Amino acid sequence: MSPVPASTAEAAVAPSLETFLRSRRSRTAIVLAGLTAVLIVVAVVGVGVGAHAVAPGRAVEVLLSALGGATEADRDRLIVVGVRLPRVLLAMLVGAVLAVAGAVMQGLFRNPLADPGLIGVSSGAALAAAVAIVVGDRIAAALGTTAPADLLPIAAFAGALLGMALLGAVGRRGGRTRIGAVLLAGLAFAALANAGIGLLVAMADDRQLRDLSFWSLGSFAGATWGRLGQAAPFLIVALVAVAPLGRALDALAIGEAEAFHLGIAVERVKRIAFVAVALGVGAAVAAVGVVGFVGMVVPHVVRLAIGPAHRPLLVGSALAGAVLVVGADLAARTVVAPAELPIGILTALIGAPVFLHLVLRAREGL
Amino acid sequence: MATATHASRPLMCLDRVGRRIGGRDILSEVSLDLVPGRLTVVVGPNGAGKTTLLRIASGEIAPDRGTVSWEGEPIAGRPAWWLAMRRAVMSQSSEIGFAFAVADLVGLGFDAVGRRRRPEARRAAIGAALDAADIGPLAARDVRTLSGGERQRAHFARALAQLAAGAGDGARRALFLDEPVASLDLAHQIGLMEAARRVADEGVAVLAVLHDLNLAASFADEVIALHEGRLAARGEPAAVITEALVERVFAVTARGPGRARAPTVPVIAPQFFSARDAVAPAI
Repeated sequence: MSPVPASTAEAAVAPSLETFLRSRRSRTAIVLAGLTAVLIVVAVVGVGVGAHAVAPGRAVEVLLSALGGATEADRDRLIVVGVRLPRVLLAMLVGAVLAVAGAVMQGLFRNPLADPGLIGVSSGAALAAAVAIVVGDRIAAALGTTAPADLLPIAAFAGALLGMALLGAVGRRGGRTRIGAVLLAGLAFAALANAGIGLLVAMADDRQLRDLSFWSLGSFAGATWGRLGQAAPFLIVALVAVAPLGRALDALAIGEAEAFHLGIAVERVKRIAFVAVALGVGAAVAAVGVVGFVGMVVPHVVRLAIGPAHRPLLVGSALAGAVLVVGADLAARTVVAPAELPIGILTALIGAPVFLHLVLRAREGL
Repeated sequence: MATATHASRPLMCLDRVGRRIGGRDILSEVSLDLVPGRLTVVVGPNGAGKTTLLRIASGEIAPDRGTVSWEGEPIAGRPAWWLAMRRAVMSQSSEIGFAFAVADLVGLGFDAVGRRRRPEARRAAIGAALDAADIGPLAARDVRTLSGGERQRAHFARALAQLAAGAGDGARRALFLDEPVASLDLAHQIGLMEAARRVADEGVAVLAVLHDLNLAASFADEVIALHEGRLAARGEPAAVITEALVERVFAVTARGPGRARAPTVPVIAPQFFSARDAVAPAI
């Protein structure tokens, strides 16, 4: 680049910086507003569609009257508020948490391919769930009872936290969390967990196999107000905990030492992020099983739309993740109605091609 | 701004700091004062401990021995934000994870300590930093698509923006530059050093690690030569950068212009060189 006289440089700079900042801002506002609108539409359709169809206008009416405290027990109300609303709300929260967890992990690892699975959460949860399904059943049978319904989610949640704690211990040395070590240990841990699951699959009977495969692909079929009540506190805490990390994640994008120079308490940020992601993803996996691809793809798509700054990215990822999972669940229960598809099939079916398209289109941008 | 009283009192003191890694002394017994308004340059061969010294001074790593103090108070145990309010650092290599634009990167510097400032102040500071680093026309470019030198100037602008945001604290600030001109062309090397000089003239204590003895001689108020982790010489450039020191520390036989004889490497001694002679980018 050749030296430029001061006056020309100023004339060229001022408008280009201004225009850039302004267009980035308005683009972000439009995308976030658009996502919010789409989420509302998908949610209203979500509570309306099913064996007993409720028109969107009627669905809104029922929801508003329920908000207003009306209690008359008509059929629309029972189905919309009693059955479908908890399912849609759980899908929203799970989608938001998975996508935000993905955005946080990608920011922390400075790698757009990172996802929550990398810190042992998913592996731990999956292994514990498999143990609960296969071994828990046998123990219950030996005791002459059936396994309690809550065994699976509790085991999965405990497994998620245990997996994260294990990796955290491996990755820490001298009071510092070494991101690279966590990444490699996560891969090893995932391989071990897979081996364990494989072993359990070999031991499982037909019904257990079916449970295992359904759970490993995720499903909202079991969503009730009770299940929502168990998972929601953890999901919401996870979202609230990572919400203030946007600026720190931006700083971490240029390296841990540089983030420290910029005044970020790097170790604290890493700890908060790991624990929040483990809580959120653990609770999500425990509630509905493994819903793949959301954590990896959603932050990517949002980043391409509004840029890499993490504060809008976290908000956008939460909205887009909610839209994707509510929409995928809607498809999961209508495509082969009255049967249901596991939702993981749909998120992969939607997510993988979108992802491929992005990779091909923006090859140098990754 | 620097006042007469400030100029004489050091802002930062490193007192006999040392650092040992793997049983080897990377740095030992190095003392150093950073004075407001003064540009101090650290020179020395690879592995002499220059970067370690800068990392200790910036608070990134703690010394094993010796103390680092800021206005008489030890900085050990100070939180990251406390340091960030007072000093900015441009490290040697910075990779960036995502498609941040140059303006975003520079904004990171400002936002580090200037979150409560008005948006107009933010825009003005970012604009000024971009101009000072001569990178303004690339404000909207993805940092990862820049050349090495352009990226270096973007990081320099980021450090300047952080200093500007911390300016509420008065002139008691420091700027640390680790090989800031390593990938720059000749004109931008001089341009960046002139910008650093101007920062110092505003009262900031500047510490820069440089490999180019000509630049060191041209811009430094004080030169510190490190050799095998120890202080080899310190003082005014003309007193430190001598043929004897270059021979001893760098193992290179140096000659001033006019006296250069093949096959020695010419080092232009300070008295023969002036930045004014070169075509510097107008910044």
